Amino acid sequence: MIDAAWLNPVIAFSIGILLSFKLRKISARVQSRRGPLIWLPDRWHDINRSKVLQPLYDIIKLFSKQTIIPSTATPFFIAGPILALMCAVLATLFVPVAGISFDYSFSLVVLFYLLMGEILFIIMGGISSASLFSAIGGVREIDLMLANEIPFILGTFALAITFDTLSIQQMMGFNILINPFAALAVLLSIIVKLHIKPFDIPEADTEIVNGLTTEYGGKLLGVLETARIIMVFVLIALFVDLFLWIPSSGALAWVIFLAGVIATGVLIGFMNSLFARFRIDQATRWLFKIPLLVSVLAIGWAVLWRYVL
Amino acid sequence: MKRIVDVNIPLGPIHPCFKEPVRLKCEAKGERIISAEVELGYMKKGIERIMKGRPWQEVMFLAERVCGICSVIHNMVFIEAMEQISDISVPPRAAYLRVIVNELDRMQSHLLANFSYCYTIEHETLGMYLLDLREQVMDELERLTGARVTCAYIIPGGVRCDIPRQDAEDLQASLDRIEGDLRRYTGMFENGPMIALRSRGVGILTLEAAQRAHVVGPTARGSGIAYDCRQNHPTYKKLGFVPITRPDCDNFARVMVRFDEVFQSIALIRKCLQELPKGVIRGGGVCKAGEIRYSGEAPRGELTYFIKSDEFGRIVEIQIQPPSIMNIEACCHEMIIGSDSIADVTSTFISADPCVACAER
Repeated sequence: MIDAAWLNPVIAFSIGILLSFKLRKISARVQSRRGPLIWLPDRWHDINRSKVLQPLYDIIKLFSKQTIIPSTATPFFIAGPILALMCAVLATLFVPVAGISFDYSFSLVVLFYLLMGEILFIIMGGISSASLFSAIGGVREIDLMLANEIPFILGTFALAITFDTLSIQQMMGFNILINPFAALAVLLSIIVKLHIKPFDIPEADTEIVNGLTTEYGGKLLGVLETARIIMVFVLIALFVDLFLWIPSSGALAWVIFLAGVIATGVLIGFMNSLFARFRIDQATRWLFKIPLLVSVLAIGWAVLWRYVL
Repeated sequence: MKRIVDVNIPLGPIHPCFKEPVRLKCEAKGERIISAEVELGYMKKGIERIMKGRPWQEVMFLAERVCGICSVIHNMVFIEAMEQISDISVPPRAAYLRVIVNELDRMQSHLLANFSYCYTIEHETLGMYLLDLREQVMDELERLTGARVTCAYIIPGGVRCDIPRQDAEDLQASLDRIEGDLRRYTGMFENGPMIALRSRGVGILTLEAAQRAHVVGPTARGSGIAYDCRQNHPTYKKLGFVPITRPDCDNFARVMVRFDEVFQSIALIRKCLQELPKGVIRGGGVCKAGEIRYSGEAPRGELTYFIKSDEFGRIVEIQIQPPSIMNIEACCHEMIIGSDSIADVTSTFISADPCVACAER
């Protein structure tokens, strides 16, 4: 019997495409633009198609193009995106999709390493392109990661303390009520990991062209985009599983899961269009102040409920 | 002599936040900028050379094509210079209509500049709102003159067409709408904490440095220099024009000066429409031989034309001194030095509103 969790990467990619569409559409509507269109009249069919799958078309386009590799690049330039995609795909296996995933008693720790590995491999690939902008982007990404991993780990470990386990399956639930501080800390660090607007510093196109992905094009960029789309799903699904999940099974589980994913996606979409970008020093300072404080509060809250009260 | 620097960061000539090709070579230590140098010359048109020897009827259209963003003021300064040479008087109604068109042009130019700034600090939402507003101003320009960019509205001795009563009423109505919207967006800019983080205290150009570098336009007025060529223009004098300044000397001040000037332009257009005298819009006259140096206030600062014409109205000698060249130099020698990050370099450069097409004409 093949485990149903093997389907998770496919589901992650498909829902990730729809989530990317949603993010684009929301920021377009907030900015009083049209954005990618959901429905088009039949008579426009030859001119334009419905753009719900626009992120997918973009990726297909990238895969049909020639890949240019700079002469200064090392072999890691090619290995980086592929390893990052592998990390992202593996991460989907450990994030419950409507309650289905591989589960071990330590799956949370495995997921940490995979999420961190994805970012590190992208940094590795970008830096080995020997482009100045990639180097600056890489430094900024590392700065951001150092400041951001602490609230992420503390926020999730607060739940681990409450439930006395490191298995994601066992700590799933509507935990936003049990530990709201942990939910806030994890949401903030998800926003940083996804490079949502105030934190899109490593890929700031008006400053350092495109950061780590400056030298990428064609199929390798397609691989990176696929990894990014899967990561959008993985992180949002992780938030839904940990904080917005209501235990259920069958079709109801899917309804609850998708509702949670859409709600979180919409929230992140609005955030993306509300703020200006931080400078890297301002961002790290802010991350060491507020999310760190919130995550320490979350740990304190969890310890208080578990051991004191 | 060989110099060793930490990092040499070239920005441009092709860069997502530059509208036109220009190259900024920054020497940095980490991300802190130690020195910067600007490299122009990627889009030299040689338009002054093309103008030489041509009759004013042709040069008038060429002058507009020096710059696409502020085309009306080039037209206006060239034509007013020709009028000064040839002693052609302008009917009062035409003088007021000129002010209306010029101020509409200034509004769209300032809105575009502020959009660029918002986009550079990545507040894309506010930027898009401003761009939407600019489109409405462009529509008004088109309603009045028949074209969005190169209007060729101002001719020696008057203007090309009158404003019908219905159009004047429509213009009033859309000015009200634009003002309401812009007040909201200016509030968003003024009170946004993230925008303040990226703009206040960044890209300082002190009053002394500004005077030393001879900066002009909103960049100078953001540093507290109360100078505006419109003070010396007879029609603006009649309208009671007073320049706007801010003492803060940073990016925020420069952008806010532009916002304030848009409101001022709206007020000026309203006043013009109210006091619009009756009469002809075109006097007539013949362009003669002469030589003059004439300045007008472009959206980016003082624009000067030096013109020498012969007795048939042909342009023998012409030189254009655009405003942006001083601002670009001051920007890279004064404002950018000491920035904490590349992020501040691009935003500071854009806050000075560089117009490379003008600067390289």
